[in-house]
Amino acid sequence: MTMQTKLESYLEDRERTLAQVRQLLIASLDLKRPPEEIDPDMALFGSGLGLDSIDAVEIVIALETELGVKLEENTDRQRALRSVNALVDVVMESKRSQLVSTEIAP
Amino acid sequence: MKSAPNISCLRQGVSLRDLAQVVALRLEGASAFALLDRMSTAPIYVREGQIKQSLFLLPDGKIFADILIASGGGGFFVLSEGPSREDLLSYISTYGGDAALQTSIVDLSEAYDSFGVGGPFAWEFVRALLGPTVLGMGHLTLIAVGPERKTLCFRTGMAGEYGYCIFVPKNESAHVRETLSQLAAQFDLETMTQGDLELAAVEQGIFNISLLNALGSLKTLGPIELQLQSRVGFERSFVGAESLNHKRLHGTTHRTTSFSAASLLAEGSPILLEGVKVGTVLVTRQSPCRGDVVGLCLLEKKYAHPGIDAFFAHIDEGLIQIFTKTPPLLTNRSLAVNSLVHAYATRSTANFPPLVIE
Repeated sequence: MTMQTKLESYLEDRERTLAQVRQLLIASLDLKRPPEEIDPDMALFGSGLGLDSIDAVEIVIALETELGVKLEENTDRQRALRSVNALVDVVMESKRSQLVSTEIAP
Repeated sequence: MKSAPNISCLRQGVSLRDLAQVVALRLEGASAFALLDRMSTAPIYVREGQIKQSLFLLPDGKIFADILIASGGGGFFVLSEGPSREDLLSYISTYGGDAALQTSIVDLSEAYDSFGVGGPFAWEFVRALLGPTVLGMGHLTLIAVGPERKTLCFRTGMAGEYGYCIFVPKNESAHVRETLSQLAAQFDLETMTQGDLELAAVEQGIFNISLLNALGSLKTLGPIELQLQSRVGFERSFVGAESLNHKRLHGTTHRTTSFSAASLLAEGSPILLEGVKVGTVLVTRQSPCRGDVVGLCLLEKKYAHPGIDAFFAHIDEGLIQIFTKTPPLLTNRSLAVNSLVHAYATRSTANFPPLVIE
């Protein structure tokens, strides 16, 4: 795979995952914003979307039920839930891990 | 790498900041809400003691001021960064309409001494300074403390760490300053310069209006490219709303993105993908805490994502690679500090995550 093809593939995956995470946030938190108004680097808590700890639980549940991504107990949850892009990172990393474990399964 | 003391204090201890860049106003009267509502990009339905992040825009949709609006004591407080006091008052009088004429506007600097405190142990310092009430403050809240409850404490955050803006009535200021001096040694307090704050903003990937104004970036970039849409209620009417909505409906082509690199880069340097320009460097700063260079660039939206190592930029010696990142570019220690468990004096015994996680 050439570098350009690898990048194109990464960007497609990133955009797709960003769209999924935006949709997940809108649906699970009942946000009254269209997806394109949720900036990728927008903070989820405090400033930015201004979410609270109950919202955090909603997101963790939605990640597992909607995207099959489980935030393990030893995951740095505060870091994972820092921003929209941080969530995208977590989802993409989880997909990569699932792919690797599928590939090495007997 | 050893960190410069002042930025290290912000990231690992307690730092002091003067608020010379902040214009603080008190708005009172029946038209105060209407006045702010005409100018604020964010809806300002704030509860007593709540703070809202917002912007004031120019009619062409460009950013004029970085704004915090707080409700308190039956009126509003406005903390503004960007314009001078005179320019801010002129803006209010130009765009506030009749509501500006019917609103009492008082500059807090006339009656208050002010300073900012930030860092993962800022809560401990402010507790020692102003009393335990401040420990219960949530992010973006305001309380009045002190013997006559006239000292204003805004919990606003400072580049991802605990942060407070404190306004002390001038008749109580000498006492508070004396206590502050006594506490300074105990907390190894250092004063942040404007340059430190700009570095902290780039490390954090957050908006710093002084930095972007100095770079000239705000002449072309607005809230959409700068990822500040959480501060905008697009359905509302405010100064600059028409231009901003026009831009939103017609789409923007670029978005800001954080990155790291091995060397400082000239502002305005093209960012290249296989020799083709896909963006521009806005700013880079050496980060003593990370040990490398952190930066903010403007990339074509297609490429404006973290996790890319395919971009290059020119330095004198040739091309260097840049790595787009999800901000913040370091771990905010404030997230790991618990006021029930930790203390500044015993911080070295705590098992905090490293500041840099790659």
